Amino acid sequence: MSHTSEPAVYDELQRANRRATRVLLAGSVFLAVVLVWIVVGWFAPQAALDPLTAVPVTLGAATLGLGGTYLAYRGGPALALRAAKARPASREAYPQLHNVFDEVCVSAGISGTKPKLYIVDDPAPNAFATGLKLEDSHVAVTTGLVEQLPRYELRAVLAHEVAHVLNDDIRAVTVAVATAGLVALLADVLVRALWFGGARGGNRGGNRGGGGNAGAAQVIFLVLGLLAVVLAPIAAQLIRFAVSRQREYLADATAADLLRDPQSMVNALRRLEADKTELRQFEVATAHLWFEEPNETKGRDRGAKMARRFATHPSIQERIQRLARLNAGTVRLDDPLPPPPGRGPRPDAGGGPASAPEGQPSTGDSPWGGMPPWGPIPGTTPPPPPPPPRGR
Amino acid sequence: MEWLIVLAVVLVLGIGLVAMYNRLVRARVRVDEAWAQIDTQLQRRHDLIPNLVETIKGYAAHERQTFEEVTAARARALQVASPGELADAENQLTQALGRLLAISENYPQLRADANFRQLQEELAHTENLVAGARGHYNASVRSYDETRQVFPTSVIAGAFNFEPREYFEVETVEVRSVPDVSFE
Repeated sequence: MSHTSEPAVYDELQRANRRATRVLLAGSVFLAVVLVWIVVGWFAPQAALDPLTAVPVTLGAATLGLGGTYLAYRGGPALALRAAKARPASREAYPQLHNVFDEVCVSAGISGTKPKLYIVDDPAPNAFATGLKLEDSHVAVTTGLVEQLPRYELRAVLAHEVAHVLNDDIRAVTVAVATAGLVALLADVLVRALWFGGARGGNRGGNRGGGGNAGAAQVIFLVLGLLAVVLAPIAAQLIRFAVSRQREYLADATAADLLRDPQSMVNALRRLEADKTELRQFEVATAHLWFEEPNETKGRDRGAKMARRFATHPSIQERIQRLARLNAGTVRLDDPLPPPPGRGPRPDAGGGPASAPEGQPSTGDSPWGGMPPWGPIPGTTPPPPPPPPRGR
Repeated sequence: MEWLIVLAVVLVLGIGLVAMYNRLVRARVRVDEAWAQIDTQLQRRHDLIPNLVETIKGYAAHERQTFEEVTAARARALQVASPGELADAENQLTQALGRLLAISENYPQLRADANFRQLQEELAHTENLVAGARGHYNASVRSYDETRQVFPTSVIAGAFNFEPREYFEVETVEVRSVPDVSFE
């Protein structure tokens, strides 16, 4: 039976992914607490070195900061949707999108708690998922994606987003964004403290009668503060990276496995790679959310070059390669892509253009136009390779 | 003192047993849930077939044999209940439907019919739902089986008689390939 072979691997990867999310959460809390302690230490070095006062003060301040972050975390998904100008997709306006999405949710076994569907008015084909957990998750797609992708590729992209929901990535991403925000804020506070508070703090330290001890502590905290100002944003950035690149590969693989249709996933990636439309509803803060990294190789200006260096996504080419390797033997990379939908009359309308390209044996003789033929499983998935996938 | 240690060991063992038992039950519930989902989707498919047959009849009334095959396959699928038999009946229905749609290819007017086109989308949708529900069911059975057979839980599974579940098999080569129809 086919499903006794690889999927266990995905289960394991998924579990590892969830674990990584928890580590990430703990790591960011720790980072925030350390930063708060340094801030406290700068203003009151004596207190910060005395555990009896430092612990409650630091924890109190950290709780305040983390409380704020928690609010940001709760509000994150709504903000992300608003930043992308996403609006709910009604079933009346997008019947096929809803149909395809239902199919994905049934395959994933989450038809009871489906994520909510949103649409973004944008010609660039792209999609993202956000939310905190399954019951409160949202999937948004651009109008470009709906218009340009054939049914089965649209399904693959939606499955990729649902995979992000299943793998707990949406929570990790939200945590990462909220943490990055908090750390940036704290680093900012530190910079100002070092700039202004430093000079006055030094005088006051003397006035309070702290003595040489306080001066030494002040120096320690000056060094720590400088270090933190430099390192904290880098750490926050690293946290953001940690949630992105590996998770994209995993979501691709999970999606292909869910639908038992790696070919459509590969086709969708190939189509999106060829597409050069730029996303308009793009904000740096939400770049990591999208299916395809916005602004990836498209702009020629320095900003775009910088963005590439700090890419949140692996390149599409790399994603295709990995997926092809995982499904060796069943995925073809050089077939012509099925025709896009919605170009005038449907290709299967009487006397219209020839139904599907001849080079697509699995769909060429199908009554569905660009869709795989009638069958229990789309014809694009021949039986998976024998258990050890890399034979030969 | 000793009896405290004994008590602790018994307690830990008890908690472990309960946890394993619960894991098994949860896996079984998921299988049942997934099965219910397949049922729903198949129902949807069965409901759609009379409509489809009627629409195609309007354009291709003389393809009687194919209509009869579809109707008969549907009737059979409605009667059986065990996963194995149902999978078999549904495979036949799938094949019959494939032939029906292949025939519809031959009637340009039919293909242009708005009603038929909508049915086509609806059917593609339903077919994918069926395939998806089946995939999810099989995945649930797999994880249930895994839990049932892996060492510590296998003891509990044996003691409390957690019976194996059938996969919903479809993957024969004939079903996968596009049906071969000749019009001459």
